[in-house]
Amino acid sequence: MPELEPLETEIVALLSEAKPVVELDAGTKARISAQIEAKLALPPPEGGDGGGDSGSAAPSAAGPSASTAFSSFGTARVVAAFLGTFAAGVATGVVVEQKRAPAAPTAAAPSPLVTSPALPLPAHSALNNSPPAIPVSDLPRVEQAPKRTSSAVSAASSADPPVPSTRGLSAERALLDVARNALARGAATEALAAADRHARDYPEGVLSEEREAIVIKALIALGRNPEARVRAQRFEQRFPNALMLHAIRAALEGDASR
Amino acid sequence: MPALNDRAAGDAFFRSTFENQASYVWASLARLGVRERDREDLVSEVFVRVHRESAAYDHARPIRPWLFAFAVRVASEYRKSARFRREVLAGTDDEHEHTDPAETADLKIERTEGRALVQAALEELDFDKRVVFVMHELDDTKVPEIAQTLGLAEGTAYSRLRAARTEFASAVRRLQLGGRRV
Repeated sequence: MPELEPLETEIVALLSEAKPVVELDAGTKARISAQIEAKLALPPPEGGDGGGDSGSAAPSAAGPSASTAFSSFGTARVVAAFLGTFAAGVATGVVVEQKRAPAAPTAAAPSPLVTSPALPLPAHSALNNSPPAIPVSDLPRVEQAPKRTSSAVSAASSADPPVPSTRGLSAERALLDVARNALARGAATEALAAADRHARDYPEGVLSEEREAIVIKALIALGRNPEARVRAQRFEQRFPNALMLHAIRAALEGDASR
Repeated sequence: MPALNDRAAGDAFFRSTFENQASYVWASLARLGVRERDREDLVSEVFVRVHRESAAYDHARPIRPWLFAFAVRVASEYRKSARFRREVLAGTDDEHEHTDPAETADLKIERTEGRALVQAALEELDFDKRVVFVMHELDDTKVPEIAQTLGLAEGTAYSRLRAARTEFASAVRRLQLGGRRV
C-alpha cells in the first residue's frame, strides 16, 4: 500500500487544535443517561439484547416493573458512578453515605437515585416505577439476583442492611462507591484509603481503571502532585485506550496552572 | 453462576464505557454532522446499540474505533432521516451544515478559530470521506484499523482518505479567505 503523504503543517496544526475531545458537562451527560435508560426499558426491537435470560428481555409475571428494573439499575448506576466521580455533594453520593455511615447531614431525605440539581427525572422514565430510593450500595445485590421482583428489591433496601458481598464485582463496586463518594465530598484522604483497600483486595479487579482514576484525583486534591503525575503515567501505560485519560490529564493540567 | 458474572461484567463494561466515552461519542457525532440539538438523542441511541451488542466487543481491540462505527451508523441514518432533510430544505439550520461557507465564515472564523474551522471544512466532505478522514486525522486511527472497523477494503479507505485530505485542505483555504479577507 503506498504511503500517505504528510499533511501540510498548517493543516496538521489546525487538526491538532480540534483533536481533544471536550468533556461533556454533568447535566448533559445525565440527561443522555436518562434517555438511554428510557430506551433500554422498552423491549429491544429485534427481541434480545444478547442474553436469553437477560433482565431487559425476559418476560415475567411481574411484567415491566421487573424487566425495566434491571436495566434501570444498570443505567442509573452509570449516572450514579458519573455523578459520584465528577460532581460534589450530589444526592447520589449522599444516599450511599447514609447507608454506610449514618452521618451525612447534607441531605434531608433519601433521594431518588438519579437525582441531582442538574438532573430532573424525565416523566417517562422507568425509574418512576422503581422504588423511590435505592441506595447505590444495594445495587450490586440486584446484579447478583436479577430475577428478584422490584418489590423484593424494595423490601431489601428498606429493611436489610447491605450484606457485605464476597462476590467480585459487587464488592469491588461497593468499595469504590465509598472512595468515589468520599472524593465527591472532598474527603480525599478517605477516598485514598478506600481505593487502597480496593487495590489490596482486587489488584487486577474489573474496576482497577476506575480506582486508579480516583487515586489520581484524590492525590491532586491533596496537593500531592508528583505522586499524582507518577500514577498518571503508570495509568497511561496500563490503560492506553484513553479511558479517563482525558479527564486525568485535564485534572493535572488544571492543577499545574494554579 | 457464570451467566450472572457475565452479566455483571457486561454491566460494568457498559457503565464504564458510557462514563468514559460519552463525550467522545458526542464529539464523533458532531464531527459526522449531527446537529447539536439532535446530539443528545443520538448519543443515547449509540449507547443503546452498544448495550445490545456489547457482547460482540473484542476487548483486545481499542474501544474508540468500535464506538465510532456505531456513531457512523447512527449518523448515517440520521442524515437520511426526515428530520435532518426537512431542516436542510427548510433552511432552518442553525449551525453551519450545508450553508454557504462564504456567508457565515467571517463570523465563524473570528469567533472560533481552529475547532470551528475544522468543523466547517468537514461539512464540505461527503459522508463516506468524512468518516475516514475523522477517524484518521482526528482520532489517529490507522488505516488498516479503519478498514477493518468499517468493513472496507484498505485500498478504498486509503483512496477515500486521500481524496478527503485534498478536499479538506481546499475547504480550509476557502474558509480562511472567506473569513479573513472578504
